[in-house]
Amino acid sequence: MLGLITRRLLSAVPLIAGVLTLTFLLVEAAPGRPADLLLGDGPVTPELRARVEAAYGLDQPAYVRYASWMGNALRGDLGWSISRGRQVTSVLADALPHTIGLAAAALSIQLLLGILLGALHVVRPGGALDHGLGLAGLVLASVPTFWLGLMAILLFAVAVPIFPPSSAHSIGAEAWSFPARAIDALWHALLPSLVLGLGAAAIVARFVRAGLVAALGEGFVRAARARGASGARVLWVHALPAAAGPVITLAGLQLPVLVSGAVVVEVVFGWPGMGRVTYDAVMAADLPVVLAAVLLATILVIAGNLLADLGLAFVDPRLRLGRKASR
Amino acid sequence: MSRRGGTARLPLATAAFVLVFLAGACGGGGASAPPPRAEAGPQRGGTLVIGSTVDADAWNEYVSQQTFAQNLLRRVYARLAQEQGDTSEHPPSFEPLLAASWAFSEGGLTLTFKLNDATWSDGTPLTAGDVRFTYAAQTSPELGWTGASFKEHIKDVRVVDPHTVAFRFDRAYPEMLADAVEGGILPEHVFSKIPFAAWRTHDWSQVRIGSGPFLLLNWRPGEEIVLVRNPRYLAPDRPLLDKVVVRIVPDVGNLETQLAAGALDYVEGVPPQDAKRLAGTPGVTLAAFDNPMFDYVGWNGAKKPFDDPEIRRALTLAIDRKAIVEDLLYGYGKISTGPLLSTWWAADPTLVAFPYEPEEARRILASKGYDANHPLAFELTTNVGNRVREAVTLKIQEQLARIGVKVAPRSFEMKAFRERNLAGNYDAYVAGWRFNGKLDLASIFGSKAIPPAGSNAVAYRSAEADRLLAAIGEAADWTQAKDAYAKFAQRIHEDQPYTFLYEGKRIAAFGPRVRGLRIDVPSDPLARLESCWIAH
Repeated sequence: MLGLITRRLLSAVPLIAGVLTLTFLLVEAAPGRPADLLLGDGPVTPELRARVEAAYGLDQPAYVRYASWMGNALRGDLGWSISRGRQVTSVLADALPHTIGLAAAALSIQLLLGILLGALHVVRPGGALDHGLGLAGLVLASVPTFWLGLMAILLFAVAVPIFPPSSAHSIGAEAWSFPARAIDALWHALLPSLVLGLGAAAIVARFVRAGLVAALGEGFVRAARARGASGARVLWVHALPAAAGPVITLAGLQLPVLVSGAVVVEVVFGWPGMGRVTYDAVMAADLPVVLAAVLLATILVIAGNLLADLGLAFVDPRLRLGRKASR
Repeated sequence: MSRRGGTARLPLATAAFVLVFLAGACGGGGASAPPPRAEAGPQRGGTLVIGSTVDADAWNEYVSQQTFAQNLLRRVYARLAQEQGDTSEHPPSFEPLLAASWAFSEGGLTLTFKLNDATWSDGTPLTAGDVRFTYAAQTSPELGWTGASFKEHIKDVRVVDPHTVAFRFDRAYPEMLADAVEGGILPEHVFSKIPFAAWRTHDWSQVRIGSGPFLLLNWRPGEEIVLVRNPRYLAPDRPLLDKVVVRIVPDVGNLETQLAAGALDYVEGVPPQDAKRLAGTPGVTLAAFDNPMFDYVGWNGAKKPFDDPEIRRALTLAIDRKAIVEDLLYGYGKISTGPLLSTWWAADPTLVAFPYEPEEARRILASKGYDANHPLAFELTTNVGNRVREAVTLKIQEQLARIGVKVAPRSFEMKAFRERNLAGNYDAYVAGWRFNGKLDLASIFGSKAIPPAGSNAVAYRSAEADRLLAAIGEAADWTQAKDAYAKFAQRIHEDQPYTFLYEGKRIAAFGPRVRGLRIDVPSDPLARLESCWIAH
C-alpha cells in the first residue's frame, strides 16, 4: 500500500509539470496579447501599452515568464492576478473553501442518495419501482444543471422562500457569531449542492443498481441467504461492498470535476468558488490564475485516483491479497 | 472619445453627453427610481442592495479597468467637482464637490481651485497637496494610467496654499475644466507609501480610506461588496443610506428573479429582451437611460472593395438599422448617425442617417460590377460573448443577402478579435465605441493613426478629415469647435468608413423601496447615490 502511494506521488511530479507546461503553451499560443484585454481597443499609444505590459512583467519573453512563475510557485508564490487585482494565493484562499464546502456537500448527496436509490432499484429488479426510479434518474441526469438551478431558485427561493436565492452568506453575516455564521453558510450551500449532487446521484444509482444486481446473483450472497441472513443484511453487508468498486472509482473521478467544474452551478447561484475563478481567468487571459487552477485540478485528479484506489483496496480484500501475493 | 470593442474598460470620465430625462419622481428629472408617491420626504438610514453580474477588479481607480468598479470608486474617492448632465447644448457643467469654487486666469491658461474644508475618513485634512499628488499619479509613466490623455495639456499642478491649487495648461480648449477634475483625489499620506511602479500589483482592497459619501467596509470577492456611510463626508446631510451592499451574481436571470422577489433593490444592465417581462412585475420599475456608446460596422479601408466609399455607402443603404433596433434591442435604442453621439452638444442635428434603400444599394453595387453572377462576398466578425453583436452579424447577413451580398459571420474571442482588427486582418467587423467624455477623434480617424501608430483600424484616409481634426484640436472654445465638429461629421457621413448602427439604451430596474436614485449622468449611473434613500 505504501509502495502504491509512493509510486503515485513520484509519478505525479512529471505529470503536473507536463500539464502546466502544456497549459502555458496553449494560453500563449492563443492569438492576441493580454494587454489588448487590459487596455481595450480604445485609442492606446504603443508607449502606454508598453508601460502597462512592463508593469505586469508581460514584456518578458514567454520562457522567462514561465520559468519565473514555476520558480515562484515552488516557493508558494503563484503570482499576481491581473483581472482580480490580488495575489493568486489570495484569490484561491477565498474561493477554495467555498468550493470544497460545496463539493463535499454535493459528493455526500450524490453518494448517499445514489446508494439509497440504487438499493431501492433492486428491491424487485424489473418491477415498477425499478422502472420508475430508472426513468426519474434518466430525467435528472439529462436535465441541464443551469435549468435545474433556476427552477430550484424559482421554487425554493421565490415561490416558497425557504432557501436563499444566491451567494454563500446572508447580508450582514460577518457580524454574527461563529455558530450563526456556520448555520447560515450551510443554509446557503444546501440548494446549490442539491442541484450539483442530484444529477450525479442518478448516475451513481445506475452504477449501484448494476453492481447490486450482479452481486446478488453471486455464490457468496446465496451462501449468506442459506445461512439465514436477513434481506437487509444480505443487501447492505454482503452485496453492497461487492458493488461499491465502480462507485468508488466514480466518486474519485468526480472530486476534480466538482472542484473545478461546478462553474454552471456557481454562476447560477452566485457561489464564489473555483469554477467561476477558473472560467473568468480563462476569459480574461489571466495566465497565473489559469495555471494555479490547472495545478489544483491536476493535484485533485491525482488525489482522486489515489483515493479511489485506496478505497477499492479497502472494500475489496481481493485487491489487497492480490498485491500481497504479487510481492 | 474612447473606442470600445467589447465591455467598457477605460476609466469613466467627465462625460459630455446629454441625458434622456425620463418620467421620474425623485429629484428633478433623469431616468429615475419609482414614480411619485404620496409619502414623507427623504428618510435616513437603511441599506440599498444592488445586484451586479460583475465584481470589482481593483480598488484603485487608476488601476481598475472596469466600469462597475470605477462607478463604486467614484463614491469613495471624491473628485474636485461633480459633472452635471446638461451636455446637449454645451460641454458639461460641474457642481462643486471637493473644490468650493474655481476660476480661470486672464489668458485662460491657469485654472485655480479653492478647496472645501474636507477631511479624509481617517481625520487627516484633504489638501492641495493631495490634488498635486493625484496629478503626479495620473501622469506617472510607471503607473501607465489609461486615462492619462485627459491630462496631456496640463503642464503642472501647483500648490498655492493648503486650500488652493492651480492647474497650468499649455493651451486653451473647450474641455479644460473637465480634464482638470477628471479622476478621484487620492490621499497622499496613504497612497504615497506605495511607489507608482508597484501600484498595478498592489492589493488595494486593504486600503480603507476615502473622502466620498461612502467607504469600503467589506469585500468578499465574487460574492459581496459592502460600502458604509462616511461620517466625515463634507456634506453633513449626505449620504442618506447607512450602507450599500452589492450582491455579485453572474447570472442575470437570477438577479432579475431576486429583484422581483424583493431581495434586491437595484439592478443595472437589464437585457432589453427581459425588460418587458420585468416591467410587468409588481413593484419593479424600469428606467432606460442613454448609454454613452454606439455600435458600428467597420469596413477595412485598406482592402478592396471596402476602400471605395461608394461601396461602403451602398452597404450602409442595404442595412436596415431600424429593424435591428426593433428586433434586437427591442426598441431600446435609436439609429446612429455617427461619428458623435446624437445627444452630445457637438453633434450636428441636421445630419440625417442614410435610409434603408436596398434597391439603390443593389444599383450601386451593380455599377461596380457586383451582381448575381459576381456577388460581393465578405466575412463579418465580432467578439464572442456579446449576444447582441453576434445577432447583429446574423441580421446583417440576412439583410445583405436580399441584395445578393454574401456575408459569412464569424465570432472571435476578444483578444484574438482585437489583434485581427489592429493587424487589418479582416473584411468588416461589428464593434462599439464608448464615449468617456474625452474627444480623441484624431486617434480613430486621423490618417496618422493607422495601426500600429494608433487606433484607426479601418485605415481611413482623408486629407479634409485630417484638416478638420486639426481645426477641432485648435479650437479655443466649444462654439468654435462645434462648427468644425459638424463639418467633420458630415465628411465621415459621406465617406462611411463605418456604418454606424445604433445608440443603445441601458436599462436599470428598481425595487419598490428605492427613492432618489436619479440617473442623469449616463457615464456615471450611481452619481446620485448619496441622495438615494430607502422607504422604510
